[in-house]
Amino acid sequence: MKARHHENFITHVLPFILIGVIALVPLLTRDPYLMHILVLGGIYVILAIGMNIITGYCGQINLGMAGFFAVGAYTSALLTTRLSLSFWLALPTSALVAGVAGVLVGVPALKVRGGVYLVLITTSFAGIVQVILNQWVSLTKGPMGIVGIPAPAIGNVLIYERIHWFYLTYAIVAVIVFLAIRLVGSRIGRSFVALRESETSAQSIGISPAFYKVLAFVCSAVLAGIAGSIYAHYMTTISPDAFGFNLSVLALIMIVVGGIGSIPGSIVGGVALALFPEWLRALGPYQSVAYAAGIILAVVFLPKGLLMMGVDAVQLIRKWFLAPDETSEKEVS
Amino acid sequence: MIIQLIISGLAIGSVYSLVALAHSLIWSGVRAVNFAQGEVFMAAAFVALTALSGAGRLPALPFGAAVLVGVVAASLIGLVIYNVAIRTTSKKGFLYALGACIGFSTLLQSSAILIWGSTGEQFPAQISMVPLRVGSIFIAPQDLFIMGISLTAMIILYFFLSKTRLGTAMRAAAQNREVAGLMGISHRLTDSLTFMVASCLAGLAGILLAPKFFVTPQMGSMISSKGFTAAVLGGFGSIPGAVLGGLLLGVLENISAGLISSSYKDAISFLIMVLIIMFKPEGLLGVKGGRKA
Amino acid sequence: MATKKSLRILILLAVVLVIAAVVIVSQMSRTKSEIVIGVVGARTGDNAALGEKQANGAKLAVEEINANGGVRGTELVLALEDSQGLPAQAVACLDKLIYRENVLAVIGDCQSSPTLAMLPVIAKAEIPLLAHGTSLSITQQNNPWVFRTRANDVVKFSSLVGFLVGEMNYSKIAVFHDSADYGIGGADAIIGGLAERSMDVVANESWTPGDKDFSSQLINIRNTKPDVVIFIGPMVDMGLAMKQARQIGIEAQFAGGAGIESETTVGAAAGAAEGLIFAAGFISSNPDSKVQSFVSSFEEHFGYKPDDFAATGYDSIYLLAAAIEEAGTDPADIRDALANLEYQGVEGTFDFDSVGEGLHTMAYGKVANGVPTYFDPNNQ
Repeated sequence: MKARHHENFITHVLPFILIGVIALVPLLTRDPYLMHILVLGGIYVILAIGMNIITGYCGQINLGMAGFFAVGAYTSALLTTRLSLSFWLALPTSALVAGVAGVLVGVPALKVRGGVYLVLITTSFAGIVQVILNQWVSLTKGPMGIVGIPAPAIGNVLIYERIHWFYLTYAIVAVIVFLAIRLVGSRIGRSFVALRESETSAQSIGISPAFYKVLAFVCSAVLAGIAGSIYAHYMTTISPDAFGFNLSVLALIMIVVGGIGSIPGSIVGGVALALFPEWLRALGPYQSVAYAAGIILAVVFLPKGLLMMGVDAVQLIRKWFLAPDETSEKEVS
Repeated sequence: MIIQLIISGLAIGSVYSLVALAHSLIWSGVRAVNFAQGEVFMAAAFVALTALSGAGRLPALPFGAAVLVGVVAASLIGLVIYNVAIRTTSKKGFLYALGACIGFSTLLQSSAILIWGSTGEQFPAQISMVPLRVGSIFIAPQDLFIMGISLTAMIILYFFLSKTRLGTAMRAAAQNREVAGLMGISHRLTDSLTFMVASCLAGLAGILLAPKFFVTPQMGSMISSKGFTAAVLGGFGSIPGAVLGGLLLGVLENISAGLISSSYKDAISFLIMVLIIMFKPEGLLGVKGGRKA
Repeated sequence: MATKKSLRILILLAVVLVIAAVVIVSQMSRTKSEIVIGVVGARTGDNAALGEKQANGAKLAVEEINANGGVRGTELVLALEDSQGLPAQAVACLDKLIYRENVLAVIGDCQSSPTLAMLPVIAKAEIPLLAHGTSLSITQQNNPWVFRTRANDVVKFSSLVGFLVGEMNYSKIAVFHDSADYGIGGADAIIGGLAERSMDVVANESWTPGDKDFSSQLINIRNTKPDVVIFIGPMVDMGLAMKQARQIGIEAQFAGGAGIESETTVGAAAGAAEGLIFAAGFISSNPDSKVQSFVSSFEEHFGYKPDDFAATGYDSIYLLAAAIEEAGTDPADIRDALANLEYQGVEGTFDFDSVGEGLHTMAYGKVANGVPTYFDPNNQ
């Protein structure tokens, strides 16, 4: 009973506590530098949740998140700069267009079995997107990128200051986290997990692998598209070189470090991967080496990700300080 | 024209083949992918270059010895990657191994920037730069040299795998990990060995291409993904498939760039790859219904 | 089990402590008594070489200025940040420099897209930015705080075309460029320059940055039998492309813009760059005494010859020093001083116009015996 309660806490309550804690940061400091890192962190969180749905829950490796992200960013940027659409229309449209791209990747991905081929299909997709962005100059302005992407407005107030972006981003993050928790707890989410565990047994209980796999691709693409749209309006300028393979890899690292198949883990992973390299700036030329070493250590030594590590640590400390309570031991294993 | 495109495609393709071989060897033996392969390639080139030109009190070595030093360095890096990134994560799944390897690739690249700087160095050419001319076709002697050495390395690998005890053990482990374990072949040993041999191949490819490529900390990132693609194209885990896949990819890229469009060259080769793995997922020389990749 | 777990906890605690320590260090902001100048550039990632050269040029300038008593009696201090060539990272670097390091001005980024992302932050923080990216749009954003310290692509390549056609009488010009910002912008400038003379390129081929094999495009170029092939792209790529061009039998004159004469490119070309004609602001064999003393002390410090990026890092610091010396430490005063400054640097004469373009003329050079040689206009 208690273990179940504990799990319930982690999946349903903890994510909002985490977002709440981050949202309180401006009470301490409104330092624009920290705000920038946290806005990026918020964008990463959305990307990480998308990555977790397809890879963590449904078990399909996806190294093409940069492609979906770029599709979202460019759709939003083009709609607002060329057609003067408002951000509030451009955001859902870019989610939709990215979702269509998700179908385009998800359907061919059905034909292949196994991680290695999926890696190739998804990286090829992201590669094709980048080539098109670079070469279709009349639409995308090619490598020069798009500048002057307008700021969104709420009523008459332009979202321009870092602090406004901070609140806007985390409001969207909170909505997405809420929906994602509902999704993974629903029949759809359970079908994803069933497919991950065993395709044959999932099929035997009436779960269509084709439908749910494509759906998982679409969900993650939609989230990446939303993240891309926010990124474009926040940065006000985008160019193809920002959407390279490194971004797809970053999405993967975020969920491995934060926690695979976990929404709160995605929050921790996204924010951690935005903060971690900035902390290491103090190391100057050794920043990148320390970053890589940190990633290796985290992947090798944190088997369940940063979040569960933290939960375990809290459990253990509680055990030390409180009277020995045997029930809490079971939950951890 | 088309012959010229094919010949230059074969030259770059033979290097893809070497890297693809490294990928396939690791996959068939250890069931893992070393996504830091490109950085092993790069590190070998830098080490060989340093050995060739001498550093500090160390004397400059002749070319052959420098190649040996570079290849040994590559195999040691492979050994470390296996024991730190692959073995520790083997029970946790592909994602963890992928993450750890990506960490290694960044680590090696940024270490190379710290040690050798980011500006890059020219690897002295070991062979004439003057092109040979056959009719209207030009062939760079360097390309012939690369193809020759690649071929030699593949033949040596073949004999190593089929004629030596260690090679037989590696193949046995590849064919059935459980049975090999029962027969007393230690996984850790054969796996380490597989990684070392594969890294030797990647390292050799790096040193071979160094005079053609210019040695920079970033030189490996493109080659690694091309080699991986070539390996999948040929049938992942298949040794002859890797060779064929590499050559095919080289030629395919060159022809699509030469005859269709150089700006969309990469997009076209990506597309062809996706089509091939969709309609022939086991690869060109893979065994249908074989092990799931 | 329990001991393993407590070990993990210990490791975790240690990690947290280390991170906390690093945070505290990074939170420390500088005292205001120093004059701090920020440097943003890629020092890791694919374009690491650019940032390294830029930073080394800047370091040399600071060392020289401080050895001569600093600026207004105060030492100059550099704060270096690695942007990895990525826009979001460049903004993070800039934020850190502005809000943590209290910089008075920033130089960088070396590339155009990170620079464009930095512009809104600069406009808001109201401090001068000495930019090195060469894409035309950088100075077209109505940002009064931006000053470009390199010749932009249009200036560079249209003057190269003028030189090749007007002075050298070439007519069949092929252009081979990368598919990124620099290559496409450069190719457009060349096509525009030729169009002014009612001419067109005979071949226009491109490659993806980082490609190692260019044979198919080069075969297409060879078939058009050009007089000149102009190469535009990353330094290593251009060198490899030139080498492979010679290997498949292209015998045309080679040409390019600044960067193509760098040791990196000429080294990668392995002999194929011999005779190459280039247009650059900075040419290391320029007999000018200022250039020569820069080149020799740079080589002494860092072991290789400076190129365009090193020179722009060096000039940027001297420009800022001159402006601060004249106007004091108020950013708006520094900006006005920069706008009115006329300064002879190693890249040429800086005279910033209303949009912030500093360099308006090019020098020409030729690679002879593997070294870029100055083409003395008075002695042709």
